[in-house]
Amino acid sequence: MDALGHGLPLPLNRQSLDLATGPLVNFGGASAAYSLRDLNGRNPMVVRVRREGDNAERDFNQDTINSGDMVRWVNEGDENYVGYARFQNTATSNVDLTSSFKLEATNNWSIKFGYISGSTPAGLFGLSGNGNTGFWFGNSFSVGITDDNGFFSALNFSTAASLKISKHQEIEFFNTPAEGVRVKVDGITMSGSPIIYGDITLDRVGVSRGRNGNRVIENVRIDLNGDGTLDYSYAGDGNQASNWTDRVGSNNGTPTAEVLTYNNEFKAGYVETWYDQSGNGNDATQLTASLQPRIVDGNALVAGGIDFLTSQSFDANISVTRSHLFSVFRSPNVVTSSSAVHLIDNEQSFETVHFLLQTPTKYVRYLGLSYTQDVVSMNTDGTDNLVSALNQTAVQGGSSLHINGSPMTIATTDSDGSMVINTIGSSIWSNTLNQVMAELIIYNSDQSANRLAIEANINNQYDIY
Amino acid sequence: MLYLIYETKEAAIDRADEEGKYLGFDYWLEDNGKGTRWLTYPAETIDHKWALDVTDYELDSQEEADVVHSYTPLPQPPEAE
Repeated sequence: MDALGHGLPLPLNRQSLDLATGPLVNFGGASAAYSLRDLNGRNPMVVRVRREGDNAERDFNQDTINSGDMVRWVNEGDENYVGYARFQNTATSNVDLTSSFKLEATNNWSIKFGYISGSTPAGLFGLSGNGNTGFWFGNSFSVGITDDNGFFSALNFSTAASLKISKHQEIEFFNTPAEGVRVKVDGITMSGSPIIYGDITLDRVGVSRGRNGNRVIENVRIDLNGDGTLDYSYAGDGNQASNWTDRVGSNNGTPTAEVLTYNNEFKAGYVETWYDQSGNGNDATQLTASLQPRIVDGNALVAGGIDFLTSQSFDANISVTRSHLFSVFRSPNVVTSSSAVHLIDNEQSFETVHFLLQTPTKYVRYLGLSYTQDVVSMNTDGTDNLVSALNQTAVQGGSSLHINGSPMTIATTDSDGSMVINTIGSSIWSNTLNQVMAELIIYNSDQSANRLAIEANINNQYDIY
Repeated sequence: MLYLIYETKEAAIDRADEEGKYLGFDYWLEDNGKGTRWLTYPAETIDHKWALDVTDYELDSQEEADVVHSYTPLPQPPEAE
């Protein structure tokens, strides 16, 4: 118990008054509890997020979500390069130099440049008239190099130094005579063996071997003989000829038509783990990227919670016997006969489907291959719904369903009394939630006596009804 | 959509693991068993093989020759109407 008395149940006549803290503070004992807010008063981590692009992951709590830190982290890395030359991955998206230059195999040459990667393959430096010569990234950890004799070999620089999509990185290709070419990324030199190439003649930026440039190549610095003095240098801080003037000589560059300007392309963030705040460690996880619900879209949080809109789901492992569920999810604003509002399920067997709203008007519970179906009503205008569903057998006292505080009339034939909830957001029946969910609290007990207070707490947070 | 069909689930997961490593997912970078592991996960076909969605995978030439554009999933149980 803390100084505010959190941790002890409140008398029933005071429960509805304590709205500022999460419901688990006063109504602990949940089997699992998921939200983007602090439900237990301990400011726990609530989600683990994977960001699009470099696939990095990080944990966030309520405060770092509300402060905007999570959205900034998802989109970090390239804000400083807005307005720089943006290679559009087209055949007319490169910079032509006035004259060619040769990287001689017998010299200690180097090419250094700043880079923001998009998709691969991506052209880097090439030669007009001989489309094969030059450098291009084949994937996030290899560069294809073709010399003047047509010798081609991919140079792998390992995943440890791999390119991170949408993140600015410092790249260096450098040659040591009799050893060969190596790659350095953000100061990390490849650990594998270099490859010996012949002379390489270049006169273009942003294309090689038919691979076009993609995103940003800037601050290009070329040293032909390893003497520490640059022979050619280009800012690349825009798409005008003035941005590609040779800063040390007269070998100027001319951008072609589709070298545009970079505009800090926003990325999405996806939830890998929705942390259980009940203290039972029943975290909901999704190890498969294509099935992860979205939490950041562009430069903003998803409105209303976590986005399951295109068949995403979490895996879980929550044992219950007589469960009482409180969930908040955004109602569909387009309702069709086939739409499914599906919450939780034991997907890995054909046992009881625990809680299924199939379309906003049907509440369905399965027992084996048979099911009970009731007509219910809920918001269908894109606003939130709060569902309180008590499932227990008739022997244990029957079930109840409340939507937005109103009791629904449902049959009393119920679940088999025990099950493991394996899935949140989809089912073995191929139903998927296809909605935005804000909160889900699962008690392995009848919370009828606390329902009004828990609903009041949730409603106070989300202003549902 | 592009799919590769495998005889066993294990073989399909091996290929999904390979792609997950290639993409640098967190599971393969951190030695803690946490984090994203796969881009896609195999699904069982009607003839009890395993279909892996490889639409966004980097495929080698043999895999490009082997891809199929659809498969028949396991039949689902009847659903409430």
